[in-house]
Amino acid sequence: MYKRYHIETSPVELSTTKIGKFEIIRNDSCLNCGRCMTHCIYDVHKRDSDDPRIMSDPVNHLCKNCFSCIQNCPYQALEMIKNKEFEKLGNTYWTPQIIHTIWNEAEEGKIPIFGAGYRGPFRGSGFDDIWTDMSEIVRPTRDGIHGREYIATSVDLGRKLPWISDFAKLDLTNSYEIQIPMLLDTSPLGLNSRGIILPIIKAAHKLGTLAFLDIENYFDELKPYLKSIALRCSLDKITHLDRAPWREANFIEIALPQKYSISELERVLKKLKSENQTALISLGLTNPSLSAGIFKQFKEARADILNFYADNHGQSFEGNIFICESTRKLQLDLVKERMRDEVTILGKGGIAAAEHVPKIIICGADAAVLDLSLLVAAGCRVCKVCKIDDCPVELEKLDPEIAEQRIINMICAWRDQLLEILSAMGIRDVRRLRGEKGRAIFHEEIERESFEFIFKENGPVK
Amino acid sequence: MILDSSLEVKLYTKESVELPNILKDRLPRIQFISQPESIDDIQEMFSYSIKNKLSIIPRGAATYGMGGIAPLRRSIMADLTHLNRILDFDEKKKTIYFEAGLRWWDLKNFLKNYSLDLYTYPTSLFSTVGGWLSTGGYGVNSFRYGHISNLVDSIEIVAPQKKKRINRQDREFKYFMETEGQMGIISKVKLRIREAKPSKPYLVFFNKASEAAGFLSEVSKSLKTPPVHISFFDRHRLEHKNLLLNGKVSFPKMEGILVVFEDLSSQEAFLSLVERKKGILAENYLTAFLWNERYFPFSIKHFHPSILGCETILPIENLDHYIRKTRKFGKNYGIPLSTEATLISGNEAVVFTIFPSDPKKLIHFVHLFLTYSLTHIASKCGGKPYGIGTWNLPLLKKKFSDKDTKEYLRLKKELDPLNLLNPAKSFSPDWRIAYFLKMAYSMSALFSNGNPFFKPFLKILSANLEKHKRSLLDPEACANCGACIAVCPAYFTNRSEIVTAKGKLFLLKRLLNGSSIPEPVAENIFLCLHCHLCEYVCQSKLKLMPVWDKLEAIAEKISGRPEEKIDEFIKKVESHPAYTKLLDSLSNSSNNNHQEIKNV
Repeated sequence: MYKRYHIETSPVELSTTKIGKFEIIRNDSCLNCGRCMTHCIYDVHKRDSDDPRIMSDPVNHLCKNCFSCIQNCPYQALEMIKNKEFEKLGNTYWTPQIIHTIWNEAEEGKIPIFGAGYRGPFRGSGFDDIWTDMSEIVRPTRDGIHGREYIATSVDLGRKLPWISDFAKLDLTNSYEIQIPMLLDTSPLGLNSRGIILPIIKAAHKLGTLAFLDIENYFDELKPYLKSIALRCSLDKITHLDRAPWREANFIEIALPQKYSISELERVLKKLKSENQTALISLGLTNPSLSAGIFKQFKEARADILNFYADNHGQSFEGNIFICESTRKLQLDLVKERMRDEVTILGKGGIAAAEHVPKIIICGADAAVLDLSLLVAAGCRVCKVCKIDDCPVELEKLDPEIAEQRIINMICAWRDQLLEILSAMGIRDVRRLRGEKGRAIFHEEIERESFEFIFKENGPVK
Repeated sequence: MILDSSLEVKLYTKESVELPNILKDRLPRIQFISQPESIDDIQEMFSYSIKNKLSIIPRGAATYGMGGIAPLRRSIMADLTHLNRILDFDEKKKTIYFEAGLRWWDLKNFLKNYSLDLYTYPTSLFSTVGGWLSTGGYGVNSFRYGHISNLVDSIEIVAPQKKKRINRQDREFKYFMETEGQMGIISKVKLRIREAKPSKPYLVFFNKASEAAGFLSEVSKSLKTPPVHISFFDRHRLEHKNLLLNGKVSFPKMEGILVVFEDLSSQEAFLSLVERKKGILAENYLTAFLWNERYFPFSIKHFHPSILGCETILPIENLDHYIRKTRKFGKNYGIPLSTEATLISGNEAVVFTIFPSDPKKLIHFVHLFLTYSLTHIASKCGGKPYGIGTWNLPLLKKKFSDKDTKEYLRLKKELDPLNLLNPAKSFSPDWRIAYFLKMAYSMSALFSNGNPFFKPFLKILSANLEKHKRSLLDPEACANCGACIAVCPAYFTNRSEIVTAKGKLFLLKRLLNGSSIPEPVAENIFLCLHCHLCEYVCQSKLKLMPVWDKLEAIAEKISGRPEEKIDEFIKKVESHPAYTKLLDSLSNSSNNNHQEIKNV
């Protein structure tokens, strides 16, 4: 029976993520009149549960900065300041705002609201350099993103043959459909605690997608979820290809070190293919420019997927190129070689917000791999230096079920936002968004186009 | 609404100056408190009282202090503060028509929304309009605008035999002013109002009272555009104010004169007069503080359990003489006297001389007696009594001439032949009380010159009065001014003063004296939003919030914590229209950045 894809969310609160952007201070002149309470639609103000005659301290993390309470207070007893705790969160890429947004999404599974308007800036670096075009706002949004007109978010991993020349020689490799253009990664920041791995894999299982797992972290408890695991191993460490779980895996990724021999890669791929004929094989790359040897592997139909790794700030490990740029370059190279459909492109690293997913897809990726954002959903504060035994939120001790639900909630919120964007673009299938450069404006490009003729003599505009 | 518990009756008869318990217990009983909300209610009350042979004591906010609401017959008390609707408001003609139980504070707040203001108002801003018309009439800005009756266009009165509208021009009009409700209950008032104007106060210091008095008489006559308000504070009165300041700044040991202008065209003439008279202008801070203190005439209560005094209307030229005499008198008997005078014309001033006392001590009786002696001194200086009430019954003849009295009596017979309204006061004095007070008054004359026989005796008795420092939980500090009632959220929902700060301090006093309070009354103690407003407006500047915590702890032992009642109260108060109105007016005044009536 047909069943529409649906993500089950349920609100999960976490005491450690209650750090609001603002701090409302109720001073001594409060009359306890309750006006702030009647004007606040976010439940920031409440009466004390023990003594309802008195207002309790404002629940700051719920505040959306609408100033309604402050304006309506008859005695000017409320004031608002920026929360210092909030400003300390994260770093320059994983900004406090990004972390806070993910927390909200993970808690409620709903699209977050930013109160009091957006004051800018309207461009930035990285993902913020891309503006998406959402001009067709009218048509498909008629009854909302979950309305009658279904918008598909599923994508296919694996190759699509340009034509079938010989049915007898038809490759056994299937393409594999995942329900959302997002894959999960179990080892962000190199953490390998089971308390983190298990919820991520279970979430991927429930969401109908895959989760990457380094082979050294595999344990028997994961066996029921093997179909939802993308096993990963570095090329120089790969062994026992004739044994479980290699032989049963659906998806295998070989992470290529900075220096490797193509012949070794060929040998491993051949062996893998002979032991496990149905698995999709992915190559994990740190260098965005493809060597001829890699192209050959895809041409010879040994590998199906290309996963490009960037660091947590979206910068490539080699060459310091931002993930969007490198993905666009890959896309172009593959189109030039006329083999774009024979390769699936994934992008990993620096995917920190819902809008990053459609943006990287527009740049040419089929799907995005989420890593650090999953930890943030579970409560991580992206400290400057991560000390797992001195974690302020005790991630290791987190209840796996809470972590799982929060990850699911966040992904549901991201998918809903993806749906909003697709519907506003008038696109009904996320597959069609791939490489749709025309759906976005790249700020740097447009600046160059507009002003180059003026500054040409003085050199290129950066 | 009817309030009939004995506690409520006791509370509602409290005035700012209280009788000693021995006398109080001898007074006839008040049967119950009636809270009429319409003329019909008043008339119904009249017919009930005729049927049951009860008198009626009209009461506003009970801030008078002269025994105006002391029950001298078996009676009903009419709490008129719920007769408080604004009926008509003419922004162009600048008149406002309202029911007389309205508080001046509410009226001022209402007018503020339209950038309008009152010409004059009492320092006890939380008293009712009807109350002030019936008892006093001189207050802030009285120098420029005179008695409040000059600004009333018309009043409506309800008497047992008649309901009547009386214009200011009518011959009868004056018989309803300052007659303590004996002629009829003032039910409606049409008052003239004006545009709000900023005021500019000056405080001038003088070394000697005689210099100050000289300056007073000149400043009140010589300026082309006269000031609106002039008052005199002697050095001891200013010392009281020092107690309220933080110690970093203080008033010097000098006599002070506060002159307030609204029109600055004579400012230069005024300043040169100050220079000529060798006055010293005070710093802005002190001036502004003292001007704000006009709303807190009883702030001294914070430091003493009871304040006694005498209030008279005195010719300005005799002020210096009066002050010298009272100072000598105070020195003789060891009582720290202080004097404040507010000019009501170029010739006269309302003079208020006060001293601290303690009703728990025996000396209190002697002190009560000494207030009469002070009145003697004042009348020797040409003073007339300001109010009569019960205390000043012996001075009746000084206030009303024989001719007036005859006219009053004729009118009284016409309006209230059965003498229901506030009986046994000035127009139908009870002979026993009158004789007793008269005797006391004449005896007190012996003291006024410093009787050598009593002098040392009294000095010893009052020796430790000045050092009295109050403890946290002294309910005596309440001045019974009723300011807290106007702002109390619990009062809006409950309508009985027993739930307000005034009522709760009254209950606390009983509890501390060892008597118990019934359960439902104890439950009411919890009906408090802890909004602090009572503290902000408190005339005695009491730190009330910690007191409520302690009182609740005591009440919890009696009745337990009435959770359901509290929830119901909160629901009710949050949506109560009168409370909403109060919050709106607070928010208006705080936005306009001149939040008046707030303790500094």
